[in-house]
Amino acid sequence: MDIEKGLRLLAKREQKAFKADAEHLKQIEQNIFAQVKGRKKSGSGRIAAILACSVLIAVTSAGVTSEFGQESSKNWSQEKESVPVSDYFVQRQLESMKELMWVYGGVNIEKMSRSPLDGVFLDAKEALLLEDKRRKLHVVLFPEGYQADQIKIKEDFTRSHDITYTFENARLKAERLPLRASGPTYVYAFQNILFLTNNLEFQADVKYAYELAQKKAAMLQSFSLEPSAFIYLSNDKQGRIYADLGWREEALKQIARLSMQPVFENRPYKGSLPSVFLARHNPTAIVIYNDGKGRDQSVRYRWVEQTKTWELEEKQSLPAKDFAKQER
Amino acid sequence: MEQLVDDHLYRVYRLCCWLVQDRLVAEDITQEVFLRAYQHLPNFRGDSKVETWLYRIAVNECKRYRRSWSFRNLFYQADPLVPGFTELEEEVMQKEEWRQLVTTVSKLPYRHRQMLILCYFEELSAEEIAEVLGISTGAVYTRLHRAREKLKALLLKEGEDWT
Repeated sequence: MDIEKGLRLLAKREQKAFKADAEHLKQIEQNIFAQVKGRKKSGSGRIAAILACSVLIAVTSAGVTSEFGQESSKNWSQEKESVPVSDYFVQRQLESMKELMWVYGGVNIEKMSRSPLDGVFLDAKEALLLEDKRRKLHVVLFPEGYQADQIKIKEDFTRSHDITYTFENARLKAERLPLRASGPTYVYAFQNILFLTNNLEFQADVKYAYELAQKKAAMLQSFSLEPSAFIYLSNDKQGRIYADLGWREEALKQIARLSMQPVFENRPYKGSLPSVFLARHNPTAIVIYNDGKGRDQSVRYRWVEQTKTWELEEKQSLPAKDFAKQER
Repeated sequence: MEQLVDDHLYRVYRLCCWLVQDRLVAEDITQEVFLRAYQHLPNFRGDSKVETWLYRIAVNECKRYRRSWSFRNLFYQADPLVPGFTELEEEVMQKEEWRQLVTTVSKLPYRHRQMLILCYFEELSAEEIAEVLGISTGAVYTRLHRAREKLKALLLKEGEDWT
């Protein structure tokens, strides 16, 4: 008898035989949540202590960090601090949000903490305060499918030194209202996320990052490519984020140069500037551009480690969508 | 967290049942797995699949339990139940052969049984097993080979000739 076949049959039998009744699983689930709640209560003090320690460390090491301030703004790994969020999916969403802001908007989020808006929106999953070197951004995450753009801010500037605001079209916790601000609050919404800041430039950066990300995703989709499988190569920020994905500086510089070839080949050039997308899980890059002659072009390159060069793999062409207008 | 439990509770519990061969203990271990996951969620960077990450915690918790004083001193291991037959199985396997295989697999040393459970019962790829156990893919193939060889040797001892 073949042992391989025997084991496969046994596995099928065991899988069928394993019956965990729904009631029993529900019981286990309830036990887990009961214990999680218990730990949450005792853990809240711990989280506060951690945050307090972070602040203390930041204050006491300020003299040292200022010396390296310029370097730290480029250092992607510095953003890897733990975030006090309760939900794994929220955690993932925050990670991709930070990446998107960095790649498309050049916004380097260095710090995350609970937002004072936490608990204000009854439907919100999480409210966090994101900070870059000098600016602050409140992020309110709602469940999937929630239309955050329906929420409108209502500000009251009638009393100077006592500016208040509240929101319309959202379920709010009345006891927390009205909220106070030192100046105007700028709002931007994308799908189920609401961004608030008192810095107009910051709001513009976030809006720009999200809009550019959508446009770049559309470019990939037009060639039937899955946007989440690629990361956009920003022209001026070939930093740690690409290195973390395994890309070497040499490869990035080469592909940036290669991508510009069409611009010089087809003078006078009327198309869009080429966009470079790096695959997240294999050594491939896609360059997409409008050739100025009514067609969108996609060129696929593969990085060959032995020769340390990019090799052309495939070219595709489609009737043009106007990518040129989509560039900054 | 709720989503995480909803999506993975069944399979984590099933894996624990197979590994420790005791449903009550498996229940406790499963709870511990999700509590540990909850504690470490903020540090989970998504370098591996959530499922693989949970399996890794489960395998480690089962290992911890087997090393515990209570397992070695208080608990006894019940004889495994030999599953019944379906017609299809009867066609390909003689009853005695089947009984031998089931009994021998359950009596394999833990390190070998663990490999067979992850590979055959859970149907994980070599790469996934490597992530769960924190070893290289090459080591997974080696250990799987050894597990099958050990199983063959034990069956042969019982007078069954498996290839």
